[in-house]
Amino acid sequence: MKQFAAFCGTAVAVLLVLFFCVTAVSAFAPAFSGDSGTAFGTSSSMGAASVATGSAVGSDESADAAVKVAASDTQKSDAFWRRIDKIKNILFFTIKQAFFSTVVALIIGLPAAFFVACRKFPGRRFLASLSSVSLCIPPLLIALGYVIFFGMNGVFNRTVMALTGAKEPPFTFLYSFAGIIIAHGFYNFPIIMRTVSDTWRNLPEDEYNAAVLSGASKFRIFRTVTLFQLAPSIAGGSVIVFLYSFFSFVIVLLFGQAGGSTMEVEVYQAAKNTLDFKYAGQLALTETTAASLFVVGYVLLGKKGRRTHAGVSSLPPVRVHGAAEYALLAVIGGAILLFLVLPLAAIVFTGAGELIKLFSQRSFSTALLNTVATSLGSASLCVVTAFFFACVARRADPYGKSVVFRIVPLLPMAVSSIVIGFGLTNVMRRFHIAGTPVMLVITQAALTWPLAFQQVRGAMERIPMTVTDVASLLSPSRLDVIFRVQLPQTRRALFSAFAFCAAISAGDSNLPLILGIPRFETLSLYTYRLAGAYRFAAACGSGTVLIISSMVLFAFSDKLAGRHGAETRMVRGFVRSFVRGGVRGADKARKVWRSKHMGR
Amino acid sequence: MFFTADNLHMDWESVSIDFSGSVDSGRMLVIVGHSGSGKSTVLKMMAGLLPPGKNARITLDGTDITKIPAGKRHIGMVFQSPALFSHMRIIDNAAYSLAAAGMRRKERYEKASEWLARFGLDGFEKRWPDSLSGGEAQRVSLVRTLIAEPRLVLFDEPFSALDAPLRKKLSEELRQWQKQLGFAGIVVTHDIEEARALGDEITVMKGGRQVWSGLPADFKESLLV
Repeated sequence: MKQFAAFCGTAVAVLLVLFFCVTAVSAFAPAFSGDSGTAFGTSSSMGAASVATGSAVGSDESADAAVKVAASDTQKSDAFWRRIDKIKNILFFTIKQAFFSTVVALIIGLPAAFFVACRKFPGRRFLASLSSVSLCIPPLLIALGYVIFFGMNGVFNRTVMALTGAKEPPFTFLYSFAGIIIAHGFYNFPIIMRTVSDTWRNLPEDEYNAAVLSGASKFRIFRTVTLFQLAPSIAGGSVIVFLYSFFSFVIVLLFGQAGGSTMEVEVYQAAKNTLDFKYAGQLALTETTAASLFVVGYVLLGKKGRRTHAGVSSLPPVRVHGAAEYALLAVIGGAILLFLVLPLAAIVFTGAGELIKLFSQRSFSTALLNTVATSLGSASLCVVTAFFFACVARRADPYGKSVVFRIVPLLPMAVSSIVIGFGLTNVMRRFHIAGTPVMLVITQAALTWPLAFQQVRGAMERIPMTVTDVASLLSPSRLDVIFRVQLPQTRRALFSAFAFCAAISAGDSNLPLILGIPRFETLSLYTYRLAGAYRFAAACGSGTVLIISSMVLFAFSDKLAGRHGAETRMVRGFVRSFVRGGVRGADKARKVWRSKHMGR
Repeated sequence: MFFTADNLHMDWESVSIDFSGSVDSGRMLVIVGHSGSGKSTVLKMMAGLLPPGKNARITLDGTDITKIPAGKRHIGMVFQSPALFSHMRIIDNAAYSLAAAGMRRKERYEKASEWLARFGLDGFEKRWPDSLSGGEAQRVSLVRTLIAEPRLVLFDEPFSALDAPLRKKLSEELRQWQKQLGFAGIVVTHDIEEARALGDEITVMKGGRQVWSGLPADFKESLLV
């Protein structure tokens, strides 16, 4: 029985990876076919040949035909270059908005990290608790909160108009580039805050004290010592925020204007609205290649990153002091309140009155049940397969050195949910099948898999090798070790990962939207449709249920994960993966250099 | 007395720490005690890294330095871990205080190279901290402290992380360097042999209080029990 379970678990893990690869490839495949849309680059040489043939025979008709073909080729060539230009512009805009979103997240996240890690003040715990927002609250709700709060008829504009007597809404930044980067920046700054404050809190006290006693000013110490110690965390957090913003969908879909669309939105529009699958495939391929290049580029650049020593003891936080610190805290706190807390609060306040009405509607109850079923299904699939794959990885690569076991599980990180969804719709189209809830469950499991795997592998790595060795010596079979030692010792991580993946799946609106499963709605899709129909109060009510359920799941996950919450481990896991790549590269380069120059 | 620290006081966890002591120029005071006796906390209060208590008074060469910030006291400190800046090469680590004082790069590199050579570390300038052995790293840490020419150097169990033969060797070297450079020193240790080897005077701390002070010749192990 145990053998069967282990075999099934591992087999499903492999199938999940295969499924992911197949759907990713099928998303890119239309780029190389003449499936639909403008088929270009096919026969310009043939056209030229026809012209040459026509001239040789001297026939007027054939010469006319050749000229027409040549003109058609020229048009196709023009279309080709226009499309290249278009993709280039979209890619440029996507990178630009992701870059500036990361800058906004850094501007808010770094001071917030300083205050959380090094200072005591009223509200510190609340600020620290915001760290789970980016993973716990779906981006759809951030977008909805911004519409409710900063929209033309939003709470903020109405309040300002009432106070100043203005006749026009004074704040119109929402549906612009500024709206996108502010929403992204404030939604994602908690990632920077959490990763950097964790490192900042644990910086070695002795190095700081040595710098103080050397007579360096506080600013000099920050510039020459602290900043370098924090650099790997800042870079790791920035890469994650950049990728999140690069792959952002709902926020750009709602706030982007003409000429302000990202790759992700364009893939969706081409796949669902204009049905230009070739174009969608080209966009998906370009987007995934660019995202992969950013990650690889970061790892290569990270060779310059240096390892920071784990602090034996660290400086305890002290009270905020000095006018500059108070002013900075007030500005940062005010900005977070205005651009993150109040928009989310606006959803709850607007939606609270709608809850009773919503629960009496059959469509809402069905969407809620569908959400529970799909999120539990995908979380179960995810965690079971992650566990067995982690067991295999632990046995095959006990010291975490294998690139395959380290990189392959992270592959889904480089591909967005829209691209995977598009790939799956291609497969469905080819085999003439409609989307089903089971497909949604499998796809969500494939996408949230790296999160579960990171957490389970972390727990597996914390089991001392001696414990596993002793168990192996005392157990009749390898499976006995898995079920009697590894499973019980990782069960908290498994439950935690389960709750985490369930929350992510419940909040995901991208996949249900692109798969377009007939007569099937999840809560996030239901919320999206209500917002799209301008039924904002009902959308807020539905969003409130989503926020509460996500927060409950996250709190559960966080509690199970122990002192460091689940989301911390996730973020840390990713940062560590990125940083390790850099530090390893640096170590290797240094060893080679040392052996050449010092004979060591 | 060249350096005095009177009425240092701190309530730290369940222990109340009180200390008064002094050391003359060119001499070495050793504070001996078990873990948790408060000796490292006393050292940090002397250095200005922790508040010394309301009634404390710390003087250096007759000047009251109680309220002077740590970086302006002309006191150096060597920690249990070398605490080298891992993102800087050895030369930059050694020259850190010179850069903080505004010395030009060429001059500070020349001076740092001289000091490194003096401590047997010539050729180490371009290397990174994680390529050094424990003893080498602690030497660099010493260079980084002494290059600023502090008038008093505090040593917080500087050799405790090293193996016994290396600890003995470095203790002997430290005495020689102290004689050569003439700085006053206060060493914190829990190693009785090290205390005898380094100290001109010894103070024993237990449970946050000084229980004995005297010469190394009169120091007995039973005082620590």
